[in-house]
Amino acid sequence: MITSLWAGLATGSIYTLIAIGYNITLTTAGVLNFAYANIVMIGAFVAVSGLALGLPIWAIFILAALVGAIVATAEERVAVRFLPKGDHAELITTIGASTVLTGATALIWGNTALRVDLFPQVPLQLFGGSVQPNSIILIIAALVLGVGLHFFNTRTKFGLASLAHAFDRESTMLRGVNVRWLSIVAFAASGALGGLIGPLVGMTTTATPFIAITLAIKGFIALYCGGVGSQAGAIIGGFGIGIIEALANLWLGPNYGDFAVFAVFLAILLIRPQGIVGTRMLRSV
Amino acid sequence: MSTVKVETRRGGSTVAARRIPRFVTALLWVVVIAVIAITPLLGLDDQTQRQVILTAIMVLLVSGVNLTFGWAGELNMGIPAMYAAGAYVGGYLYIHVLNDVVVGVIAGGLAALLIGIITGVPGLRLGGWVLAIVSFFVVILIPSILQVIPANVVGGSVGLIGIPAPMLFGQPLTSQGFFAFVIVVTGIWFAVYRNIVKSRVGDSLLIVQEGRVLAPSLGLSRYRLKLMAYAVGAIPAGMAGALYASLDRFIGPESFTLQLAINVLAASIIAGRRSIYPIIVGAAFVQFINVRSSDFAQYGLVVFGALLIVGGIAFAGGIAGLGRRLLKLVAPKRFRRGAASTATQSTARTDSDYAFPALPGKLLSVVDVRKTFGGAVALDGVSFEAKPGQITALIGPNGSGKTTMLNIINGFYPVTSGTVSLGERTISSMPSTKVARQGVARTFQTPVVPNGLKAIEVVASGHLASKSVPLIATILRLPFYGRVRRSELEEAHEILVQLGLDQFEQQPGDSLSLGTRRMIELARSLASKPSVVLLDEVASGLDTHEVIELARVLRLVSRAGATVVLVEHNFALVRSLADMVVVLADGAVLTSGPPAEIEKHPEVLRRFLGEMAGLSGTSIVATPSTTAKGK
Amino acid sequence: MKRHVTISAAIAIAAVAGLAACSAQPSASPSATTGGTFTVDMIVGQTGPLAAAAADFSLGMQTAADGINKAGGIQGKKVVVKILDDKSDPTQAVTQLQTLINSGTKPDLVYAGISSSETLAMLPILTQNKILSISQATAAAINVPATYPYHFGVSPTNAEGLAVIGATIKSKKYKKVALIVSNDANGADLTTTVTTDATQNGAKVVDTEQYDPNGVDYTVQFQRALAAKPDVIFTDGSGPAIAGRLFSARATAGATSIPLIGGGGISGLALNTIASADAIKNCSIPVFSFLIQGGDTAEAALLKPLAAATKASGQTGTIYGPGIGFDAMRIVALAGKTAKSTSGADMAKVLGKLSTPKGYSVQYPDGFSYSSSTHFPTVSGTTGGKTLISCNTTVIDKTYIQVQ
Repeated sequence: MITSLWAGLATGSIYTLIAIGYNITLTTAGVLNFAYANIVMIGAFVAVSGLALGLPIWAIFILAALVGAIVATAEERVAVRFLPKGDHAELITTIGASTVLTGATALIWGNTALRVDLFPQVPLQLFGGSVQPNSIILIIAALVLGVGLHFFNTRTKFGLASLAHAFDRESTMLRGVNVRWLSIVAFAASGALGGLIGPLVGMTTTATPFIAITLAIKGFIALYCGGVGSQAGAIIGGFGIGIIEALANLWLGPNYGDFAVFAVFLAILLIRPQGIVGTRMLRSV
Repeated sequence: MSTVKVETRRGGSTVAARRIPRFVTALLWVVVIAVIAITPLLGLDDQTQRQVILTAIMVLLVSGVNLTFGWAGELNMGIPAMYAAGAYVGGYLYIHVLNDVVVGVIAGGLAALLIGIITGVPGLRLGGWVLAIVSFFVVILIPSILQVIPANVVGGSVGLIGIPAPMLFGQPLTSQGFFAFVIVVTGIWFAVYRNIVKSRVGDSLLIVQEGRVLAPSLGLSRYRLKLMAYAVGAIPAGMAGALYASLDRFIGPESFTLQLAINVLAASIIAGRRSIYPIIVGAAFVQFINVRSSDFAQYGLVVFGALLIVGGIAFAGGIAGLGRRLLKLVAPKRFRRGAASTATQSTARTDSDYAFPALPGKLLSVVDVRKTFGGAVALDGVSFEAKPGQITALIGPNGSGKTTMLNIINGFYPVTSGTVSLGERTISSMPSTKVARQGVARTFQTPVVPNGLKAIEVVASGHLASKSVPLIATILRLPFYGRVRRSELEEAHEILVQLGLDQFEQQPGDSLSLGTRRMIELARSLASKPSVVLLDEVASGLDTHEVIELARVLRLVSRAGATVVLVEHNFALVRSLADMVVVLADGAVLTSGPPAEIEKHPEVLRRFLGEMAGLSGTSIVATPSTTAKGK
Repeated sequence: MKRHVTISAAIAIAAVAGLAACSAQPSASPSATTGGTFTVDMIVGQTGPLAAAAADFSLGMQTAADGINKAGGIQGKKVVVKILDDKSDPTQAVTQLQTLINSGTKPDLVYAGISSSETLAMLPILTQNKILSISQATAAAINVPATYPYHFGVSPTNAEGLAVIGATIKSKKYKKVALIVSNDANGADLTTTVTTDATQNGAKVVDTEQYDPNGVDYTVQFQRALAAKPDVIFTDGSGPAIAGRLFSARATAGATSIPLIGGGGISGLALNTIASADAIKNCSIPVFSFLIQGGDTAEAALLKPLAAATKASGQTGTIYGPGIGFDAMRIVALAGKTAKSTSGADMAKVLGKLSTPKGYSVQYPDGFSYSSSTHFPTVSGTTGGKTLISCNTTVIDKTYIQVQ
């Protein structure tokens, strides 16, 4: 039971990290970047290559963040910058970007999975359950990033400016905030973050191009359940979904984890459409 | 009287002129389908037959996506799940219950409809990504669902084997027969799809896409319309699934993946998400790419992804849109916006003996309405009455709560306390859709004219909610549908003639000039034969002629019996038009009375009128039309 | 550790190079192929999760074809291997096949997909056109010679491939077995197979857990299995991604004290590059003996071109996948030679009662056979040509597994 909870928290931390990445571009550029999970996976593959080249761990993380930022900026330039207004066009173009990145990752690093072996993994015994050290790191990373960004958004001028932008592009523009730069900066920042956490996520999932889509969907559900636009919501949603999935797998049987997640998702949609801690303002994604 | 006669004839001829092509189109379609259906007899080889069948299946899937994505503005990523539902239900029926392709196709369509409703009801509450993900999640669940269903029912993860060769009414179908059946099914569905989108329903869906305010103000429920489009859009996917079950007589779970959803999306984008006939081109193109996929080998994903990006950005209107845009580049500039801004001079009507048909005006009374947003008080105990047959103007400076008041009457905002009633009924607790159905029509500060409709259709859309036509009558184009459609177009035409706008009626509504769009909006609000007309700064942005024209029409409207409520900055217009003026200040009624009184009210004079344009003018003709505010 | 690998790799390269230089090629009397081509079409997914397997198999087919062509082809016809992409989608697979048939160049052999869905979808048309086909898919529904007389499996069924597990259960006197398998066709088949194996050898399956191959974490599956207190856990998964997650979950769930036996899906992998040393302790996998370096010299000679090609391809993993393709191609060549014909019907007739000579198949050096009742390999001997080895293996020179 405790080990399952740890497992749920570990998976949940990955969902949270994905949801946090979504939130960054969503609250700043008003675009949900479906390709974010692919950028995380690219971070993991960069780590594989970095390890093969014998780079030190700190250099691997910097390199992964850099590559993530470059890829995300390129995505913003190509797939987001020229979006026609309205129309949900970003639904199509970021799914397109995600498909391109999946294909490109498979071309560069191959179709198989590669192990990311940053440091040895020996399970720890904590609170009566067993957990991988990397999972602990991921859980802490998700918490720290989520809480940090939450305060950044709600307490700093830049954070507020970007929130304001997401709510009302026009008026923000009037107040002299450079919207285009904001969008680039948001994608670059989210890309750097995705690249940075990529090696850690890859240690748990292995580096493989085809898991990105699963992470993207579950990350979105986490984002949604918590409340779109809220980093605190991303934490609650991500860990919540992870735990529900793990416990449903444990108690109901392994085929029921996804059903349970789906049921909770639908229930939240019907009962509390703005998400657990969300406000109604950003409700139409 | 004579005018009316002429217009009726004209209206009649319009309809007659439409009817013949429609009949011809239908006949042409039947011929085309029949010819394609018998091509195998003319020597079409097996492999090409298969390509055509798969293209037909793709056409079905794409039409489903177009219905939701193009017409309801919501992305359906669950197409593979709906396709799977149709395939498995069809396959199961063929093996265990009844091997008849007609039954299978119908059952498949219904199964998919069920999936559509299950995912649409929650997903459409928020739409956008939420719907995309909810629907896509069902695709992810397919393997788990197949695990949970006992393997002897639908074959579990191995796939469903042993589907018998297709039969129709007890007769085995040859491969040519099955080919013909697929073509006929696709042809029928395609006609259904076309008849849905090219109809009042299609118009309603375009209105729904225009934003959150327009549809409810016309009495249309966005949620119900979207759900309808989404659920109906699932049906062809299910039909396609049942056809697929008979095609390969094997159903493998690997056929229902994200890749399929991406293929369908790509086809939809290539065709244009609101396209009809180009769907066939889009589907054929994607089918061709799939056959040639060995040429791309491992680059396939990159190519398809790039297609989606380029398509999403550049192909906004699909191949048809691309063609139009190319045409625009080539065609001279003045062609583009039509003669929109030039024509207003010509047609100020003088037949003041014309009367609108009687409008059932009702007393609108606002009693002690309070409205707070968070902590901010927008309205603080506002009371007034607007009488039928009169024009009541709400004036006051920016932020005094005028538009908020309209939004409350209209049902967009709930009141914090107090009541709004229309005749005997309290409307302040009703949702806006219902308020609209009580006969409250309105216009907006910034005109909301949906993209994709002609001016006459925009005006007729005011009528959509008041006369509902069953979907089946729409699809089959039953006489009932024709009657309703004809009469509402005739009425719309009539109103446009009265407003002097009839020369615009065949032009795209959203391409007209601001002033014309305002007038079109006004015309739309009149089309529903409203009891109450709420006009939000209807004169701003109009030139002098247009303002005169507007004043004339508004007098006619109030004379016809409607209750007119006007939010207006142009005091000259108010003075010449209004029977009663209500002055709002800081969310409360400062004073109210006939314009002549208000004009002399010292407090009003001191506080507002001095600032307002038009006070010095003695007639509205002299009023500069440049009082248009930014927002 | 890393240096160790490098050194052993260097040694292996040297060894292979030496072998290449020294070994006399018995059949290397290059008689040019005389008449026409023997067309082999592989209809497989070139993108997606199964693409790696497809690349492995095609490498093996191509390598074998090169050898066959050098020796004069099949009945004098030059073997040409083409790959057609079906994106791992059964519908696309049928379309590709139909296009192929209609193009006028009816293939002489079709490698019918990677997943059993692809094979099952293509079989009716293959049968109708009397085209010989072969694939590594092992679903029982494929193995119906009466319905699909022209199709042959090249991989052992799970029943054959995992016979060694039954033997182990018996010898170690395991009484309670827990299963952790994927929620797909292979998982279903494995459940049946291992349950039969266990029952026949005096044990009982006390728990069966399924996992979603796209899932992120399988700890819970191991926990649930542990709760049933098994003596041994059996698990399998296709490909390194899943194997990595399975072993990580095993370590996390604290299941390393219970012995684990892996299945065919993870047996060709270099597990110590996928999972931590802790996760793969107390664990064994059944592997083909050809994967273990240092077999007899006859086998080494047979494998030499395959090993060289695998190494040169830059593909990750071992000669396991290529080996299957290699066998598939060579079995058909043998059938052509025996039948003295390249027609699908003739070759199928011969294959239906074929027994491979000793040392002909790399998977089954002792030989295997087809019969009129089963078109999946029946292996001489009881352990299906496989040996149970420790999970802690190293891949040498990108080709072999070395047991440590």
